[in-house]
Amino acid sequence: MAVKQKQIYCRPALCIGCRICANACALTHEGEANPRLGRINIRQNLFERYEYQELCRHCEDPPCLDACMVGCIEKDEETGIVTNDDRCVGCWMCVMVCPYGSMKRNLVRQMAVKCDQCKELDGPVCVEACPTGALVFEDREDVTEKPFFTGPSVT
Amino acid sequence: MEYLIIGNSAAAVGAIESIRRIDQTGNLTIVSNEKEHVYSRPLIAHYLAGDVTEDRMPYRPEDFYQKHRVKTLLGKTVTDLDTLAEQVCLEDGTIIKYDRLLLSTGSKVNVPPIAGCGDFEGVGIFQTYEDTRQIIARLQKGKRAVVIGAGLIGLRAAYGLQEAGAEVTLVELLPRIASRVLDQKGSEMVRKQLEEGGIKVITNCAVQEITGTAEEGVKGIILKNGEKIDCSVVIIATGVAPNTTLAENTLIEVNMGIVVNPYFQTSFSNIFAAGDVAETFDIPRATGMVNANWPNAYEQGRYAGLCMAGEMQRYPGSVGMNSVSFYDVPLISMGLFDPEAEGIEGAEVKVRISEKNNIYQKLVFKDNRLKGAVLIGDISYAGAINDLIREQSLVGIIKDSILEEKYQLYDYLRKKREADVEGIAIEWPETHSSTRRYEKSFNEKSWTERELDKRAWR
Repeated sequence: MAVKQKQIYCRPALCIGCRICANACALTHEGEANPRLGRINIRQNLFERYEYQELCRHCEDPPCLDACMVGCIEKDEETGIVTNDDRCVGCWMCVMVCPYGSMKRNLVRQMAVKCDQCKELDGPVCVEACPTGALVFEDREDVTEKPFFTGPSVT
Repeated sequence: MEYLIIGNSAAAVGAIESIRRIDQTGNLTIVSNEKEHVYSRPLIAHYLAGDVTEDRMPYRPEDFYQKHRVKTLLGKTVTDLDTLAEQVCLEDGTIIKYDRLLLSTGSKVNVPPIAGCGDFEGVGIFQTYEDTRQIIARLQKGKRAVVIGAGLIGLRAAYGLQEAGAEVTLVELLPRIASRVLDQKGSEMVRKQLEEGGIKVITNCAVQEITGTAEEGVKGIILKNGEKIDCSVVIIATGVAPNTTLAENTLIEVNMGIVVNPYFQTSFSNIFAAGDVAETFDIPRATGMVNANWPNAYEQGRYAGLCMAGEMQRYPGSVGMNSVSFYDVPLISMGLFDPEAEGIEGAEVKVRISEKNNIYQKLVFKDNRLKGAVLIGDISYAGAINDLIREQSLVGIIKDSILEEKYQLYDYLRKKREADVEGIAIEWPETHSSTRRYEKSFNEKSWTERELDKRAWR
């Protein structure tokens, strides 16, 4: 039962790797202007030739949900947003299984944090903050990435 | 359809949730010998340490069973399984019929034949919520504790006891600690951490006897070398084995655990097994193995539930993995991390050590594939490494760069995933060809518009 869900996408052609998205995220969720604490991390370096996107895909069958031994990671059935809450004890099981590296560690609180698409705000702050418009928040039909999905094939 | 699930932990919850995704009408019954609402087994170490309170122990909310319409028979033991009549018998004589049965009975603790073991109050195993409550109650009588067995459960118990304020001694029979989850160097580092933290570690030594009195319980232990250690709590953590008791008198094939096919069926097509009791396909070793841990158990339960409800999904296999942290130093081990100990030839090992920062990272390659990893101190990119092991993808290009330039790792993974999807154009084909990058940048509509806007504004 694939939920139609808006996702944050990065258009690499427009990204300049400024990490303002990560900074905005950290400021909103952690109250600190430190891009290392951001739950999104998109780096692009045109000269050293790498780019990578650490952002939560809100998988259909999230491996982090499987791995969480506390049971504090949940996938909302209606919106499809995967969230975790403050019951986290910092066992890093979710960090171990997330193939996208989008489970982040907050070492001060010893908790795993992840993107919740700013569900209590109007829209993701990273998308608002992006100066080049590289980040978009939209519902895409043709996703080029293979999603993590092992559930029933009947929709 | 009558579904019956024996066991009430990760695999059972996974199965319940995925059965209800498909089959809303079938009757679901769950039988467990524990009285508790479903709780998290690995969390008992945190409960013992006192950093998790009782109200945070449940793994799923209070209304979990009502919401999924599950009939619960908690605190009841299944004594007999009749595979031909398709029924199980409880200890009070109740007979339950089933159409699909899931065995998720987990594992049982191997208690070694030590004199005095089980005679006194204060000697116990460390597996369930009830065990933990007893240990906490017992800690009121004295703050000295001994943990026999330094596997992962033993280490967690020792760490939890120390956090709870006890003075802990760890006794291990083998020459090094955590030999099932860490290699030589890794276990030395963990041992050093624990000893610096104040836990006394004794290796290469067996326990001769546990002493005590009937009234006051356990008083101490005597080691093989004659040393006496006074204590009021003894935890036995000398290893676990799959709890295959139910399957033993039947025609179900049992090797290490209950043997299952990729659809979690045992020798009988309507009996399924998942979790710590099941022997599944181990991806890095390419053999059948029992990979007992929480993430695997839940995932296996989820797949087994889908198969039980008729949606046959092939399980790709499991990877043995563990993640714990001692004194805020994280530790992750995955797959085949110690090729020498397992006698595997032709393995290539890449290591990064920084003693000062307490960092040790080791990757094991074989046949141009990543087979296992040990990560201590620095666990960033553990997810990507786990994905490489799970997918067994060829790592030729990035073998040297996994430990150093990790950015390339995610880039590689992303491209690999894109290439997996057929018939869809890869949006960003090569990062190395900068000319194409710029062409694309300038040809993209929004970029051009933006440029035009800029010029108009000027």
